Amino acid sequence: MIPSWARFALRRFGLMFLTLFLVTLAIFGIVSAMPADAAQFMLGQHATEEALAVLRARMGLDLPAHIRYVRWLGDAVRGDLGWSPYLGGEITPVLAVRIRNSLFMGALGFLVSMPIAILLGVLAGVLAGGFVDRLISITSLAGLSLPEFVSAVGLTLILSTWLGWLPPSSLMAADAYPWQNLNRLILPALTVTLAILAYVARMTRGSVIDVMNQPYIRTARLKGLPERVVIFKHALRNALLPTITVIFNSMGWLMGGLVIVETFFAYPGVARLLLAGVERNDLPLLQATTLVIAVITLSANFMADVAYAFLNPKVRL
Amino acid sequence: MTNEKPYQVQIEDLSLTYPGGVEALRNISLNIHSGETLGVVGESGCGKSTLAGVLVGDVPGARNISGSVILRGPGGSEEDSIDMLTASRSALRSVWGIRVATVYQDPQASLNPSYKIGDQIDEAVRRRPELAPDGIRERTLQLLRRVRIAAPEDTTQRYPHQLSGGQQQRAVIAMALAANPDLLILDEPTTGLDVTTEARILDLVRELQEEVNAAIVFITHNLAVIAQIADRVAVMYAGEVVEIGDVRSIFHEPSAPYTAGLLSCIPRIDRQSGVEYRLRTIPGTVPSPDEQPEGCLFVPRCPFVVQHCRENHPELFEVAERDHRARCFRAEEVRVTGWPQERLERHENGGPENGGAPVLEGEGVRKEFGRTARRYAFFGPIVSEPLKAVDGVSFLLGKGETLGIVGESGSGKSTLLNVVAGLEKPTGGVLRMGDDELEPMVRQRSRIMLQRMQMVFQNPDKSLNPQHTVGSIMRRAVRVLDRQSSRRDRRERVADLLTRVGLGAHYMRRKPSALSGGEKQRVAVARALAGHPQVVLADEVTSALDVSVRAEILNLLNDLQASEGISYLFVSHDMSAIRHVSHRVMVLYLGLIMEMGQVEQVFEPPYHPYTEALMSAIPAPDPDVKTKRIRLGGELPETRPTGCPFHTRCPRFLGDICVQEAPPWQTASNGHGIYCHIPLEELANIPPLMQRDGEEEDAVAVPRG
Amino acid sequence: MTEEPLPEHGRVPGEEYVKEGRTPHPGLRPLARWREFAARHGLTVIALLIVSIFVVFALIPHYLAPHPPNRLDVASRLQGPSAQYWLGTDNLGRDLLSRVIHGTRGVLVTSGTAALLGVIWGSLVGLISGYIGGWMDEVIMRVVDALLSLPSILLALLLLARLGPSRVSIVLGIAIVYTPGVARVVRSAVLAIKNSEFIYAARLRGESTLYVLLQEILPNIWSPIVVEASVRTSYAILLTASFGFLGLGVQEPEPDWGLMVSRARDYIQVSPWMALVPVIAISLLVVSLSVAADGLRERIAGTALDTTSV
Repeated sequence: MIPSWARFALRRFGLMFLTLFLVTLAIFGIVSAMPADAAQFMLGQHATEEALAVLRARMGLDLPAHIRYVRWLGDAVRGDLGWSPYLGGEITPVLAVRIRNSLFMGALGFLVSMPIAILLGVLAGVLAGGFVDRLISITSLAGLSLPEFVSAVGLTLILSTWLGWLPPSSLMAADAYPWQNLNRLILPALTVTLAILAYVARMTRGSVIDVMNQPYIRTARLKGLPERVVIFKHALRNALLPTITVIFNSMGWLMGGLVIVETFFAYPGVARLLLAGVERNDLPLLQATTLVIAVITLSANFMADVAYAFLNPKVRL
Repeated sequence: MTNEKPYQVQIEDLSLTYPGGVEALRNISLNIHSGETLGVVGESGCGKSTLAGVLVGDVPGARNISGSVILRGPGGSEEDSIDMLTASRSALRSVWGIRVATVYQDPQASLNPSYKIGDQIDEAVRRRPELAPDGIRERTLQLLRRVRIAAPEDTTQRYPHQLSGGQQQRAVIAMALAANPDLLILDEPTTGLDVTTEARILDLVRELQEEVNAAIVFITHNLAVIAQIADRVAVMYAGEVVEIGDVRSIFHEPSAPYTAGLLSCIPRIDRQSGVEYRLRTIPGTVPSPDEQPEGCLFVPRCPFVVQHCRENHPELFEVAERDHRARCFRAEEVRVTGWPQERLERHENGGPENGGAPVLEGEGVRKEFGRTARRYAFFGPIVSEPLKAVDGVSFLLGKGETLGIVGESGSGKSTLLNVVAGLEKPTGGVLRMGDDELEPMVRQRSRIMLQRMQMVFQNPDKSLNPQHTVGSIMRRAVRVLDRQSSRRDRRERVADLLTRVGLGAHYMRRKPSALSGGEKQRVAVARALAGHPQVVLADEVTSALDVSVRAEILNLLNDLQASEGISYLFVSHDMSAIRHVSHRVMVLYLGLIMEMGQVEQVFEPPYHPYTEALMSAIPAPDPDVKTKRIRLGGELPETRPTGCPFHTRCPRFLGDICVQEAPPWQTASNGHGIYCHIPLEELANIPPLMQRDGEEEDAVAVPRG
Repeated sequence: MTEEPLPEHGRVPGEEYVKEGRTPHPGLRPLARWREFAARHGLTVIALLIVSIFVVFALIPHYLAPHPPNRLDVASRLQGPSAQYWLGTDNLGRDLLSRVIHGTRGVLVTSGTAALLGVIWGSLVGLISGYIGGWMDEVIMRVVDALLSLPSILLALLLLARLGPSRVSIVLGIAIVYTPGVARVVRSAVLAIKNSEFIYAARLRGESTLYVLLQEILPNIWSPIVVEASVRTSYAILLTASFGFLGLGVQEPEPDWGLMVSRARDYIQVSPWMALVPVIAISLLVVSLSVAADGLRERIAGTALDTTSV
């Protein structure tokens, strides 16, 4: 007999593919199927007829949209993300390196921020209404609503301009191994960290407050258990369950933040490639990068749901 | 009789205020003896639950607390006494779970969803390991057996959500008993549970009373439960104890007007069919806790009031018997005369017309939820079948008649009503109003059909749009249903309707949030009347209301039937309300009719075993009346059993025939029918349920798979 | 038996002591009530004050800015605060304070319009999807889920790339990005009251779907919609400024805050003021708006709900 969490995971897996399908439709629809002539759009007003014709043939623009969609999808599944004028070559190998770079920085940010975020959230939730809570709440609210480039400026000024501890830019060869340039990574990783830290801390706080008001916490207290046991055994187990979902879901947030952070620090990640696609009107590049980022966030959401189902006894048995 | 026992708890002059000057408790003094059960009863807002909190020293948000709550040591010894109000948090913690234990209303919420039942009880057992010489888990199993859980080993391995409400509450009680507490507080422990489950939990509490020597405080709004369970009773009103004494003297000689009023409000199923009498009511509502009148708090609602009452606040005076005290200057007269009563003139005009054409008719009404699901979508074994919520129910409703529909939750009674209303789409059957066939869904029905049938709902807080005033709610109903064209006519009609339900035209400007539960329900009734309906569907209209308000609404429905000849489909799980308003009764179980007939026929033998069990589950509001215990085994099954659908829980189970064959529809007299294998003669020989000194043997079913 | 007649049965129950709607402090004058609110929510009040200062900036920048926003003064470029240039100058010698003041209108109008449009579209979608239900709800929610699974800035970037970078595209892009999130919130608010008995009562009167949506449901879900609008506005500022920073939709010499930061990036080691001034302006505005929105949410919901989703 398949355990019920696994059956849930299977169903959720199917749902993820449905969502992914809709996402690819949206991406393709926005990028490729809009009325303007894509070749003209990419090459600009002054392109020669020959150049346009070459590009059209190269991208298969003379085919109907639905056939192009199916081809694009089929190629993508096989790992071929197409050809980019800006890169002047196949997208897949370049993108792979960029993804590695971005994920490395994201992981660095995650590892630093998550323990702190959960700690702060739990602290604020348990001490709800007190001074510590207000401090944490307001700071995290601020952290949550500030654009990443604001915290980037702040951190650069403090750690680089004034203290001189770190280089202000993360410029490096795209195919260099980021872990060999760790000191160039700290500033961007910290910046990315701040926003998701605030987000996860706030969500954790809310969930802790919610659980602390449940009748079963009163039951535990009236059993005569010490407050420490009430909080750590009875409250946190239930309060951190939704936090797991939040952590995985903040992956999307992280990818969004990367767009700004990589630009600010000139870090060779996937988001910069995406922006290059936007700036150079490179449609295949745009499609490819968006698709990859969507796949990453969707799988994070999927893992969030499965982890939740696995840890929640209501789904587990 | 309990006076010889030592005190366990002494409450002296306890007052408690919430922020904003809200007085929740006023000068309460009472003692609780060890080994006795003190019942605390009162309507909502009387301070019962605050009292429960004070007893354990845990009242979050309370501002001013004065007085003392002394919990004495084991067996009532003076040593180890502790004042729960002034004790430090750590002192309280050393008492909690060892000397005091509590059980609250919602067992699902009281259990931590992430831990197995066994682990949660272990935790409580570990507070006093000396009571568990054979190991913690062994003691846990003992406790589970003690609360009559059928499979204790298995239960310890389960998570709370895998148990039924009744089992959850048993587990919570087991947890409370873990350390042999001196004081056990049960705060509305059966509220929210089904009647049949409630009855079994009450049986358990009664059995535990014999076994444990703790002082038990049993808090409830249900007087009948108190009558069956308490040794002594404290009646609370607006944060005061207004009467206290031995359970028999309280129920037989109530001496505070409030108690007398409450007792007379209850529709009784052990009396003559209720339709002949108007229920007595207590006018008005509990004063809001921020009011501080000079005299007696009950003055605005009291029929015994004299000038003296308005100016002086009464003490708890001794009444005839020892230890029976009432907070009333005129307690002696109240005791002798009782609450004033009125007769109901109902059958003289109105009442069902015999032989007339039915106003509403249902034929083979069906409603299924979900569809057949197979293991691999379109093939493979069937994993789940559609839930037959209503399965071929036929009924007739005459003009001016009330058809009561009764059953546990899950019996399909509310679904049936929603299908008749057109809110849910039936999967089969025909509905007719007069000569016209009714379209299944409400949006397909003609305006005339909509006018003829309206509905009143269970929850008064949700049945009026909180953003509109009473006036605009009523005007809209009058405009749409009564087609009053001019603004003046509409106003007049609204005023007229509001007057007719006992409110005045001045209610029009109010918003629902400024009305009490009973007033909201009156507005909902008035709205239903806007288009001169022939049929009103009443869905559990009294179950969210306090006792005194419930009586008012039942009277109102009866009055309107008498004056306007309205017919009701009256759905309720409350057998006493059903008996009070119905002419005919339909008993539903798993979407099937088990028994149907005139109200006297259904409430007298021959009973269907299910009807018998439902009636037996209702505690009588009189400590001397013992109801024979007919208890259902197990829980409501999720899928319908073969043969007789009731056979898995039937206390009068015959054998294989019940499992294999659908029972015959046996008609007794004059339209009274029973769906059962047991011959009618045999069912007719079963003696009536209620008796003054029960000698009959109880019938308790053992769950069958 | 009694000296006084018994109260009549069947009279209006409790007529004389049922109070008109209870307010916690019925005696307080409006001014006093405001003062009490200010004392309890000091931070919210300060935040609202700051927001209103920015609104004034946006309304009459010409009267408030000490210099024209685009006047060059190459002689005094990249300076710190001085008597002439209160908050310093940028790399072309333009007055930073004046540029920030002039930039307010663009940020507020763009993000305000975007948030408003997003909330209106989202509310419509949420109302219809929630109330009608069935397969339509299923389809709409699948699409909403798909759109929400993309990081919002990514989706906005995609739209912007195709619509061509301009103010209007930014407004449309942000509005479209926020529509599914708002729709989800409004839908769940609708679901929470859809099965209320007063809705059944309306259906049993034969009211039309439109009437039920507008007269019975909408008045009951104003609070979540208002809260959504305020929260979305502060996030829209975040996105608007980010686009400015990425150089999308705005061009020199427009005094856009994001663009100013992006230009300052290259001079950050030389003159921190050029980056600091617009960054502080954004921080003040956005944090104040968030705090005000949170205060509003607390006031409406009674608790600070943490259901922010961007």
